[in-house]
Amino acid sequence: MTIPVLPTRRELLRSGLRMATTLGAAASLGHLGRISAQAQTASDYKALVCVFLFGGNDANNMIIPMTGANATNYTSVRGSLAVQNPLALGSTGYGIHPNMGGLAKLFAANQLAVLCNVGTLVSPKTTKAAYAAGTVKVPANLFSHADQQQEWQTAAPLENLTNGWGGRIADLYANSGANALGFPTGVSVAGNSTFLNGATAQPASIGGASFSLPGEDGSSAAGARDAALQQLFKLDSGVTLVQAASTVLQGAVEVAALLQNAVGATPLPIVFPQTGIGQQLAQVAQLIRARTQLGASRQIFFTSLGGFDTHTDELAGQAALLLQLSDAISAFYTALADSTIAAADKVTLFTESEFSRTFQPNSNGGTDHAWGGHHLIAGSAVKGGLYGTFPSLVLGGDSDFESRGNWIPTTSLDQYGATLANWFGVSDLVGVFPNLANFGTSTYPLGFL
Amino acid sequence: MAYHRYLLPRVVFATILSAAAVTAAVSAGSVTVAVNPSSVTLRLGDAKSFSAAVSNTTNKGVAWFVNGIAGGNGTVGIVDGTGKYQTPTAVPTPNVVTVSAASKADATKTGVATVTLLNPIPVISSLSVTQINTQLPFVLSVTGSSFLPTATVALDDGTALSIKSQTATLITVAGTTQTAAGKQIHLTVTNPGSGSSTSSPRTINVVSPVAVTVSPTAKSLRAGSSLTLVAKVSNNPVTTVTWSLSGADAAHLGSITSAGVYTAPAVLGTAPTVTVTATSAADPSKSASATLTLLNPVPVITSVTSPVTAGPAVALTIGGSGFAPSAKVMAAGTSLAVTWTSTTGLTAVGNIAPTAGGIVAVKVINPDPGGLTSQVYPVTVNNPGSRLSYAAAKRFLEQATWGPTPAGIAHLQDIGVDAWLAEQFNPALTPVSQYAQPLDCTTGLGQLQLQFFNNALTGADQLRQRVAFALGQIAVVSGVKLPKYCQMQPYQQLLLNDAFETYHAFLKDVTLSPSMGHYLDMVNNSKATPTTSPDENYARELMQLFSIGLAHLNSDGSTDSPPVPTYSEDDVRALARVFTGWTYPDCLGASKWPNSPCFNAPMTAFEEHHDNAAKVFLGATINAGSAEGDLDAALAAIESYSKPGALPNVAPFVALRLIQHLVTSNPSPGYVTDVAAVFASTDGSLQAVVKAILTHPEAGFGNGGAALPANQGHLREPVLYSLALLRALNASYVYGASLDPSTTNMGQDLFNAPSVFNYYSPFYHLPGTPTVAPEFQILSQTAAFARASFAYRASHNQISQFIFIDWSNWEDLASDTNPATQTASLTNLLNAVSRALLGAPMSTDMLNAIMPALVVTQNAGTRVMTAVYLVAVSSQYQVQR
Repeated sequence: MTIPVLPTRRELLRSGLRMATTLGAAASLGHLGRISAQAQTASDYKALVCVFLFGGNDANNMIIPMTGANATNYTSVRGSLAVQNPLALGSTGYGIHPNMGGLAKLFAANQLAVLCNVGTLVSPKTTKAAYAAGTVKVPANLFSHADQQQEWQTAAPLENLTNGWGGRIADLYANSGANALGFPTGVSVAGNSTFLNGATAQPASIGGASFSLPGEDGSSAAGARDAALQQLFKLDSGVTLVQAASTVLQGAVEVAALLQNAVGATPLPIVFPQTGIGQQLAQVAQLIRARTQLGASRQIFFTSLGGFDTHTDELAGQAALLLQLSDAISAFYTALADSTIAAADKVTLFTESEFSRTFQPNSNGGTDHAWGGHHLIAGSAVKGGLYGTFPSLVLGGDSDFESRGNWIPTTSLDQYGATLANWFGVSDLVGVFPNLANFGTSTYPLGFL
Repeated sequence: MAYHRYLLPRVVFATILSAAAVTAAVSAGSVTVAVNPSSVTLRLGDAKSFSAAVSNTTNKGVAWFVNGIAGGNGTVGIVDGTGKYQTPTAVPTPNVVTVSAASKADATKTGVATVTLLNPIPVISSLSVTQINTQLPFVLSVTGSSFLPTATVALDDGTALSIKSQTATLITVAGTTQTAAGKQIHLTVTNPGSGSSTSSPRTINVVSPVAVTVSPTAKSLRAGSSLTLVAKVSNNPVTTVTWSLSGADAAHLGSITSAGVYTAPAVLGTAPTVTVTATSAADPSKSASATLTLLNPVPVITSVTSPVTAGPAVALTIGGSGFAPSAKVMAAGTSLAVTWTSTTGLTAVGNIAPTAGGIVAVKVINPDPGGLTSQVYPVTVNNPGSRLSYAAAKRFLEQATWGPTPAGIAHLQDIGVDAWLAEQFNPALTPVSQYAQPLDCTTGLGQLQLQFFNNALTGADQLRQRVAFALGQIAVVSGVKLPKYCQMQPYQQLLLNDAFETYHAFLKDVTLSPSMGHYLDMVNNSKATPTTSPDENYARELMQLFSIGLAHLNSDGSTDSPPVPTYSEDDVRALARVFTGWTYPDCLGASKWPNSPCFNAPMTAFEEHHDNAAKVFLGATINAGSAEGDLDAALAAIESYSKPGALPNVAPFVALRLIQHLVTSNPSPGYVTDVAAVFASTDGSLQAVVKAILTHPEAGFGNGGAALPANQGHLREPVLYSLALLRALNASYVYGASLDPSTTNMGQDLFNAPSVFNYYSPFYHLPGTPTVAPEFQILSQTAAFARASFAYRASHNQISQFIFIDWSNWEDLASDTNPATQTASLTNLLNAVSRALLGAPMSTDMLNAIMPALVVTQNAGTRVMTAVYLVAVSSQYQVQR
């Protein structure tokens, strides 16, 4: 009889309105009950690749206005933190960080979209005035890393859900035969994430060191040992955590068996960068290449790049990370375009980050936690260009939630995600993004897919 | 003869009467008698019929005489009325007799024949032997007939024969022939005397001398065992042998039966061999020997004192068989002092220390010659202390140390929990582990990690280290931003130093730590300027993550529904203003703002950079004005902040997290309340809080072994899993091994948490369930495989060249390959492994699952590695409970 202790309750910071919630799958699914019965099928192949930028990417220095009042504001407010010589994104009047040449090329090839000022939102009419008047809620714990990371992965701005929107999509495809061999729809190459946890669908999480049981030398002793392990998995210890640990290892063994048959050792068509994100995307490319052998027709991948919490020394720190990100995505699509994989139009990559950062720098050469920011969507299915509404870069202005340039998002995560999910083939979008109900159906899908 | 004489005269008389009647009628010429044959030579035993021709009378009757004796007599022979003469039994002297016939008509008229009498010719019908050995005295019997009492026997090779006995039909002679083997000699019997005559010869083959062989000629055999030797005698019909033994004193010689069955003595003497000799009965000069090499017997143990209590002078009484007088006894690799009673009994005394799993393999080892080791006998070894049970002590140490070791469990059972905690809390008794001071600011964290693992594997301040590690997961600094030894070492030492202080002391030390200052940007944080504001990072995280959290907490750790926030953004900004004016300590002797990075002393304040205006913080005004004054006031406000009517938030906040790190992920509200109350009533004494956590019934302490709830326990995080496994297996360790590469693969890079939010969140749930399971947040499938890999490598002694696990005791327990008994033996092994890792003998389910993987091989080492791997990788061990 355990009370779930210290959940990170989503709550209004100042409003008196609350949503009663309880933890647990039953409550969550009850809320999302609409999706439970409707399975999805697929006859072609599509994949979504989420690149989560952990720490809160300062999008103000990734997409830079090059003309007009915003350009002036940028230079004056950012001061020494301003990025010099951005690469122009076509004739949009905006540029991209100079270390992201690979992405600039993708933009020129019409394979990169930028969604401006997107973030977690409860309702489309979020303004400073409405918030101060109490007529609108904002997402809970806006400036907390852990909470916002959860909200970007669960698409639940006011509740604490234990499953993510990627997992909810995977639930839809779970029993439909979309992945004929039972290989999970959700695959993380960056460790466990809430994003891919479904109510029933559990993701595969692979990557890094060896992905198999030790001592597999084909001997009868090894066979007997593996059989003994399988028997141990079957025991019911009556202890919750013991059973949970067995489930993880058993799942790993099953996925490893599928992977072993499918992936093989042929090198990819190009050499991916030797960075964390580069190698993660290399692994994703291998799995996409092996999609037929894996029997997969719908996949959602989770990758990550951390270090974006640039409270200090932002210029150098962020520049290095954006270089890694751009080079890795660029290599990824070069590989996908190769005839041996032939999936550049079937795979859409998109970024997330828990928040952007204060337009006004702090005293340490860095920035602090903010809210709305710009995100990238790549792939040949993408209709390139700039989307959304660029904020007015005025401290304390209408776009600013407070006074230091915390931009109130003008596009919600729900609309962003629904666009991706719609392309992916999901029909019940509100089931996957419950908060989408607050946004009119004419406001999504967004135009980039 | 008398009869004949009596009869003869009557007959003769009758004949004479009738002959006289007839002769009266005739007279003309004189009567003549002619005997035919007139001479003859006869051998004794012969008979001869004579005829008498009477002329000149019609009375043809004659009377016969031998040597004038009517009818003869026994000496000269007998003649009957028909003239048939029968030789006497002995040749008379002289050996010529006359056989005469006197006419009955004229008794003066006779015819005479001479009979020469000779001894008979001996006849041999058989010999008792047809072959004799050259040069070997023989006795043989000649069977035949007509052997005179003075007959002699001769061999034609001149062998002298002595007559042993002699009858007319059997002569027994003895002699020794020198004739070479392969030749034939001939035996004759000769009757001497008149007409000496020799029998036909009989052939005797002379054969080689008697030969004896013995089989086998050499063999090794064990004391007490038997061997049948076979002796072959050739060249003589008498094949019997007599057996004899030599080469050792009587007590150590053994024995041999007449059938050649040798039985070795039960105990060997000093002589290495015994000689067995077979001597031919036929020729005692001929023998053959076998050399038997004696070996000590096969020692077999049938009983040993069990259970015993560990200690320096444990006595084992060992029963069995085949124990040699100088046998050794080994118990788990220690040689004991042996007193030999007999081949079936020993006592052994020596040090039996607590051993992993509490089952010790006892062996008897016989010395050479032929030294063998007995099968293994498992002895249960209990710890002497009884303040708490083995299982309870093990569980307590799982929670209070980096993992129980056999010696550690014994020590705790000995002194009990109160004394153990007092030991741990007292730095005079249990010194604080010390990280080496940095020499410069260029090296990375490798050496720090090495020292961490060294402290964990060998340091006495185990509880302090566990608490320090837990505190470091609440107030996190990460090598991601502090990659240098000089930056991280002071903070790690701070955690150790403050582990048993108050939480306030800890928070203040953390706040003023340059490591934390650098990590969360409080160092060189300056008061506001027209274009900048004070950095909010430390202010926010101090409240959210290190002290009060986001929401009002009830004393049991629950929040209200909906949760009520503890602090607002205004509070964050106010606290950010409090935390201004601090820079690195002055390590170069010329203090200025900002000082050069230096981490080994608290930050130092420069008031001109401190925002000394009043701040409204958590509902109260801070007026202190000085950097440290403001800081103290702010900490006081944070530490006293509470939901109205409840304990200060920090109490259940810290209580929950420490409970999760030490004991269980899902404490009941009562558990949190109890510990929070201790926190509040002791002003945050970490000693009191830790003791309350570890001695609570929900930790399984003092609850009489009652079953714990199904969701009790926690997944061992990678650092704890790897250390606990090595300690439970009693690994020995020399400085130099870092487990960080392994723990990194398992999802936990030591000192390198991904962010200030630690490796995992206190709120992480098993997906789709209400069960809190923080450590599962980093249990990806890859991490699960990495744990399996660690378990596998540990079982193969492949973790590090500096870490060694001695498997020999368990290998002994695994050494039985007899299909009839090995399952029982391997059950002992699995129970030992299970007691060491899981705290109790193995459940039947687990036994049945694992046993097939052990019996598939006969290799004891492989069996142990497999058993250890399977238990170590099992979820039953992954989760500590």
